[in-house]
Amino acid sequence: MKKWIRVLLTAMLTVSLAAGCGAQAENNAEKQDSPQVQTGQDAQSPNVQSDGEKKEINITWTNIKESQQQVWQDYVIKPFQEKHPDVTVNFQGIPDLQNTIRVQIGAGAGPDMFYMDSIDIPDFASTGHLLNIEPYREQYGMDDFMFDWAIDSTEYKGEMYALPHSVEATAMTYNKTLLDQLGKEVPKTRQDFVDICDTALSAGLIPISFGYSGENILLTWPYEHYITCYAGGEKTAQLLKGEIGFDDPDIKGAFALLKADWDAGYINDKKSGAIKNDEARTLFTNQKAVFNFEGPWLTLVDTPPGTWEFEWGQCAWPSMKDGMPAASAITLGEAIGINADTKYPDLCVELMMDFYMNEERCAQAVAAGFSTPARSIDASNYPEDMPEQIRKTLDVQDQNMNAESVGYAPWGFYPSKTAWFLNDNLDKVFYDQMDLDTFLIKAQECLEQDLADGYVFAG
Amino acid sequence: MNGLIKKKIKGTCFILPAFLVHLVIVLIPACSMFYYAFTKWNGLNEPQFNGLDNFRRMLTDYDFLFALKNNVIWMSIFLIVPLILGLGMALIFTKIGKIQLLFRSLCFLPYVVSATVAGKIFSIFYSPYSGIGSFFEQLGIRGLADFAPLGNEHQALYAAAFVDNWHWWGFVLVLMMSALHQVDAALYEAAQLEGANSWQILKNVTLPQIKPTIVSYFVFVIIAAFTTFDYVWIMTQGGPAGATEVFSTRIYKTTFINFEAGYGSALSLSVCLLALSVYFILKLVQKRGREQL
Repeated sequence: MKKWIRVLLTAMLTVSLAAGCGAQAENNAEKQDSPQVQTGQDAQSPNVQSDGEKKEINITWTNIKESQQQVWQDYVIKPFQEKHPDVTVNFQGIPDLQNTIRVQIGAGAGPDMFYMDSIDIPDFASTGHLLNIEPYREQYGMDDFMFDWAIDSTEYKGEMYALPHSVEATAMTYNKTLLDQLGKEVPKTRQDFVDICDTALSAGLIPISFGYSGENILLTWPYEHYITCYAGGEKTAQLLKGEIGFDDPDIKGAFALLKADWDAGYINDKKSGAIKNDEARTLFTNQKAVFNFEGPWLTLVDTPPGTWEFEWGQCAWPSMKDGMPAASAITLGEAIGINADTKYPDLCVELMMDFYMNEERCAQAVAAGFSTPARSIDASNYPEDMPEQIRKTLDVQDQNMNAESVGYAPWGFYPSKTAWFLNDNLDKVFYDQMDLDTFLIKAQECLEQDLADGYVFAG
Repeated sequence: MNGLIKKKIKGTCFILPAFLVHLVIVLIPACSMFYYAFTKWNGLNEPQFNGLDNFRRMLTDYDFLFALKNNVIWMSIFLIVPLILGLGMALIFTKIGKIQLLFRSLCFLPYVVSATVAGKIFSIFYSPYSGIGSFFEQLGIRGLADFAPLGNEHQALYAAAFVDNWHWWGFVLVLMMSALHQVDAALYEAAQLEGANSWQILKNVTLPQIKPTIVSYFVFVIIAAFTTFDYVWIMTQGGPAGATEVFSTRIYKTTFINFEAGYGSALSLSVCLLALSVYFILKLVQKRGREQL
């Protein structure tokens, strides 16, 4: 009896293993049989795809708060599902998204749609993992209402490979109440800025709250501000086109000034490496710091209205050199990649385009705490009862985005190898583990490699 | 003979399903690393064979060599501190009768806390604004108010290692206690009759008797030290300024953040070979230890 039970169990295990492999093989076969790219006409007529089967679109996003997910549900997913009751849209936020997506997509799996930084587009597009959006560009008239530079940021070899989801203009967030207590005005020049930082330190305050422990990617904020306001947008563009190098006096000067400000303790009293960004935000919330490196996303999305019990404001980062205006860097905040292997490419594009094309719905979503879409929104579309914090942020962002001088934020415009090198190694300069010259030489090597690999500046 | 063959076939049948799963999930991907180590590959494109380029690059890769240094420090800490603590406390606990169970349980408690939870909790303790530093500040001890080891490039590695030690040493204690219980009591009696003092008993009876356990512990620690990842990643992700970078975090960043999967495979292969070499050396030592016993 025992012997037969053993034989039966062994057989069952072997069969289930074989069945598992078989199921995968069938799935793969099914995927290959399904149409990979459908015509634009199909997108306008979803019924063409309605063959009675239950359709499912999976969206993977960064690990956002529940309230944020609710905005997605209310303003993007629900209206789409009302139009397409046969389609289920699953929205999932995960930590460590970029790595997970790369592994999944590289393995030929992954979600239908996913968050991506525009600097990752060339890697995915060049290997055929992203759906070419070009056929939909004219169909939906994207060029008519989306920002040109945002569309350009999603191009690879002149063709769109992602949807530009949100845009932002970096800013300095300041505590006006503390500035008043220190007897200072909002800084416009380097001298104003240094004066406030020194006064704040003497008063036992942190000039700029900033934490990057375990998140080196956040180091992108400080060096963006310094490059934009010391070297300027034009020089940044020249650098990224390969016309000048990291050894250019203005570029080098920007990094040297950043290092000097770190050494002076302006940046979170040199303790940024010991704290997470959440803690730095708490320091700002608790009025321990005068400035914060973060821009509109902080007050539009991440800080619920009413959290700050002080008067605050946002403005462009002050000039860091005589003759260089205070400026912000524009960037595509979020892009949406569509898996080239999705069974429903038309529906995926339609899901987002329905939202982007509806100006009123976009305005309502932003008022509810959503990132600003890559299109202009007339102020009359925003609801009357929109929180003051959001209205204020939008005004500043609008002003910064339309300023005469703008820079280019690294997370939207820099090539990937260069951006990762800068993010991964800037604190070695802070901690004197690497001298500035070596840092800049290595950054230049990465940039040259990126340019040789076909990187094209999209600004 | 016939029966023996039948038994072997039966055994093989039982192992086969698990082995197939292991083959597909572990062995094939692990072996594919040998191939990818000789390619330029970003994880998405077609790997391009580039010979020994990855290995040449490794020799001048400052970050990797720095990680090697950190791994050696990490390994040294774990070869010494938990062993001394665990063995020392085990020697005390074996002499205190029934109450040892209570102390043993208390010491073992950190081992059941997950690495993520422990890492997060200690990150808070180490924070200059909400942790031990601010506690000292409130007490008016200015000298320690700036205690923020995770933000100090000279202290961060030791701070992270301390947490792993805190988590780990209770297990070493239990391991050593079980080894001590297996030592023949007659040997102690004989040593005492010969007039040996406590130190002589420890040196000449206890340590030689538990030597196989200690060597096994060394083997385990060396392999674990080469692959350590969790605490460093949770608390610092290799920072600040690369001060806590170890092999695993470097490999992870190279492969999944810088997207150089080919070079990442070469790094993994090197670490694997290094750990294997150390493992075989220690196995040799262990064998000789057994022969001497």
